[in-house]
Amino acid sequence: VSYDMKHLRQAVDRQIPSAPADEARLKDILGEISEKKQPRRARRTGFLSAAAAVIVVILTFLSILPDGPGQDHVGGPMSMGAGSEPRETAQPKETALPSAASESVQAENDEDMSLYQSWYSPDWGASMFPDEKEFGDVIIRKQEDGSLAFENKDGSEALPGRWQQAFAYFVTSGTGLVGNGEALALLGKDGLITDFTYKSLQYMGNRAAFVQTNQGTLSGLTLISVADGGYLNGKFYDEIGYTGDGKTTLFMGVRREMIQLEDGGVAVDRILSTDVMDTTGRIIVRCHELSSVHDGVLGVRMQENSDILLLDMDGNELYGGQEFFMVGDRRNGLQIVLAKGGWGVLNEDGSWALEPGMYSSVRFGSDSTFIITDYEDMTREINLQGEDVSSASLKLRMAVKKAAEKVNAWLDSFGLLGKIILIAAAWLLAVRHGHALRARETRHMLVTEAGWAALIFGLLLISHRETWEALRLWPTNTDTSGSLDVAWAYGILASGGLISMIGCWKWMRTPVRALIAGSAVLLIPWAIKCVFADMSVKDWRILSEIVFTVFLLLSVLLMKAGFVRRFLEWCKTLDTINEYGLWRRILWYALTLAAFVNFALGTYLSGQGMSESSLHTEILPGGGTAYDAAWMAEINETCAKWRASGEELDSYLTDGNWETFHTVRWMEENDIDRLTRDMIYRLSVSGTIELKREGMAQLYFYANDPGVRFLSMQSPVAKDGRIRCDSVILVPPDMEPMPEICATVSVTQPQIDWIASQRYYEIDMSTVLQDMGGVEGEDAKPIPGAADASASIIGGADSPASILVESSSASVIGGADQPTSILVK
Amino acid sequence: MDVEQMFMKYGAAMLRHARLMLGKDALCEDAVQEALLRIMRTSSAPRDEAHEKAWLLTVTGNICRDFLRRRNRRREVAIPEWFDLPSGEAVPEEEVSLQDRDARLVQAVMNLPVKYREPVLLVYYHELSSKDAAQAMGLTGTAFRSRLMRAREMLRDALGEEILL
Repeated sequence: VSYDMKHLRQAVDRQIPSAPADEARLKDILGEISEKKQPRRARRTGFLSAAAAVIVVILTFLSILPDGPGQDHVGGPMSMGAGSEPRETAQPKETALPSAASESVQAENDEDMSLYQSWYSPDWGASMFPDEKEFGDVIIRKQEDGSLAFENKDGSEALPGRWQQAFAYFVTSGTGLVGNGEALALLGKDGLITDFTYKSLQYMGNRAAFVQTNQGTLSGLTLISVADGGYLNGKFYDEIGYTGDGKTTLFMGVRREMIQLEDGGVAVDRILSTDVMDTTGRIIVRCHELSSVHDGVLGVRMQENSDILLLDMDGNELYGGQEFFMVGDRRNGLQIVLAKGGWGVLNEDGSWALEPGMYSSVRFGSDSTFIITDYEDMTREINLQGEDVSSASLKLRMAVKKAAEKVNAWLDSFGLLGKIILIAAAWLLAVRHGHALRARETRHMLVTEAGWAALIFGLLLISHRETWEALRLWPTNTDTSGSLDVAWAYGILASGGLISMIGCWKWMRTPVRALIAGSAVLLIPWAIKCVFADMSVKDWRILSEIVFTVFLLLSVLLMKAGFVRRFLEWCKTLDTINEYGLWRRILWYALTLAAFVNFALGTYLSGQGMSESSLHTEILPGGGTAYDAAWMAEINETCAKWRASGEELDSYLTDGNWETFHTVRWMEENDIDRLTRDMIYRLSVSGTIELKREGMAQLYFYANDPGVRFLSMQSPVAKDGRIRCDSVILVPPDMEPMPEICATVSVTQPQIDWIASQRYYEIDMSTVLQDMGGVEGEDAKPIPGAADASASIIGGADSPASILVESSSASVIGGADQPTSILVK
Repeated sequence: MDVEQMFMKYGAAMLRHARLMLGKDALCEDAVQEALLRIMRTSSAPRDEAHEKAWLLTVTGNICRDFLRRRNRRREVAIPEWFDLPSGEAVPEEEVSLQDRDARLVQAVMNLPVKYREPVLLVYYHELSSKDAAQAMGLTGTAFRSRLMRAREMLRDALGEEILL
């Protein structure tokens, strides 16, 4: 028997007859592609990619999350009411709400407050009000004509619906206050109690409120009882702070008094006094500033620049009269304080429950546990025995953060090379992904997308600290010195997305074209990075405004010229994207859009940071309000060692002890930006500002030890008077005179007033600057006839601030390219 | 001829080829679909229609080989599920003999390793020229002929009979 291979075809066809469905299957296969459906395996790949992307995003955001509530106050918790705000902003406005810290305390102790907070909205107009809402014993119902009527629960009318555009301030059990912006009405169970003509009102708790009145000559803030609308003590205040401790409601009135000190006819000084009173008007203590109130313990500064003393409600000193830099929360007799050495926790008897110096911040977790941040910036929850009782989520976050820090450090170690590698990887992945998309090579799509996700993660790791900082502070407290890097990183991502989209374009058939287009697109963020990084603030702002204006104009013109139609046509050429499955397509466009939005946001933030400066904290008279425990502890410790050595600081520093300073973590060379930011944000910055020339200023910072101070480089002054500080250097102590000065160039009226009340000296700072290296030299001398000197700030919102000093014999303008500058003392 | 026309004309051959390479497997349709996608995006389509079928089978064969490699990596054994043994029903002697012969031949071919099965299928089933078949497998003419010869020897060994070429 022989087998004829020529019959193989017939043999096979006989053995394996064609299935009738074959032709239909062929049509199906063709149809699936014609209907732009992706292969099944590709759909699986899409879901896997989506899942991977989601995981990456979650992990990334976990890594950049703050450690928990309260982290904004890195130096520790603040517990101030409205009175802790800068003086000029402390006036309760109509829309003012209690500060967050006060809210939390108040809400715990005053059941009415939760009700109050849950629906308080000063902007509620009748049109926005729900048809009916029940508060306590009062039902507020919208009438047909849009007005609000107040009814008791039994249906009786509490207040007729005559309150057009009314908004309700609060309703407690049976009592409510409503107003229309000009007048207030107090409601009781039996209806209207009384009318007021107060401008604004805030509920205080304990049946008390404070209102701003405009009744004739009686203007200012006063206290009323919500029971009958009567005055509590009949006094009027510049400002009122409030706290609720469950026992007593405290009101803080601030009287500013100008006191003339006849000291040789020279000095004019000011004493700020604060009366801390209870609701009866009894003065508990007269101090410079009420810093905090917790659990019946008052933290007060008796004098300007003094540390905080803790008092009980009778004004008696606690903890043996120890003073603290800062006072945190208090619970169950445990008091968080910032003492010399750092944050710690005091027992009731004044002994340390948690020794200071171990943590950079401490705050309460529960009543007996603390959430601490160590000097490695890791957060955990501990009990009084110091045992770690962190929750699983906190542990996870810290683990992710730690891992992220390690990877971040690893990536950073590559420096420029690492970034180039990332750029190259971004480009390769983008181009390859584009090809894979077009070719529907699902395996390559998966690989490139996984690579892309890894790249996104890597770039975010590099930039997450700056990103988070920028976003956390944006837009009010903008410090975005790192955001240019962020913009750059996001720019690469966005460009990568664009490249990948271009890779789907039919025109991009050849690798050469892909290379050209990809490189061109990648150059955009690179150019931004290179060009803008070294530009001056002014130029940057002008250029960015021009660019955005041109961009907007072009957009409009292009749209008018049928841009949308053309764009849609172009989109059609992205043939392969449209063949994705629905979810994959949505994911793809969403990621690309997100990348571009991030790019825009990063660019915007960097613009904010560069044009409006980063120094958001005004250096207020009396210095700042917070200390960084680690920083101060290290500085003071070093200063103490220096003092103990009996040497001059210069010789001490050149004797190898410079390392002591040098190794302080914030003094590391590559951390100088952060140092200055930290100083501004967290430290008690006793500083001076010298206007060097138009738009530039010089800042001095002081440690507690008057012999040690830091001098900033020249820094730009923004239009609003804020200052960006980029770096500092240590200034030797013999560079006298360096008056102990606190001042500001922020052009707000209270500060102008304050500066005008100070003494002035004239110093040739050019000499001082030349001598920064430690060589002796200073040319300070009093302004002739300074006894009757007065000063004011020239300029303001639209021009750089300068200081004009006038006396009977001299008139000097500091700043604005003047060779002689003014130091404010 | 555009891709769609080409596919409708030779799609059945592609599907057949995939089945003969992969067995009765859902992967066959995936392979054909992927081959079609690859064909649609490529710019190297043959200019003359004479070689279209060879080209399509080339692409299909390449993808089938990829699939088989992947399957082998997963240590899966390719079992020709599609191959049904002759039934035991009574049939005329001539037909039994023919059916049996066909079955033996096909089974022997399908039992060949893929690298030897494919040249046999391309030449004797799809009736491509040696040159086109060699091109389809990405082999030189000599290598292809050598492989085909080896395949025939293996078939001869398996069938124990003479094979007419």
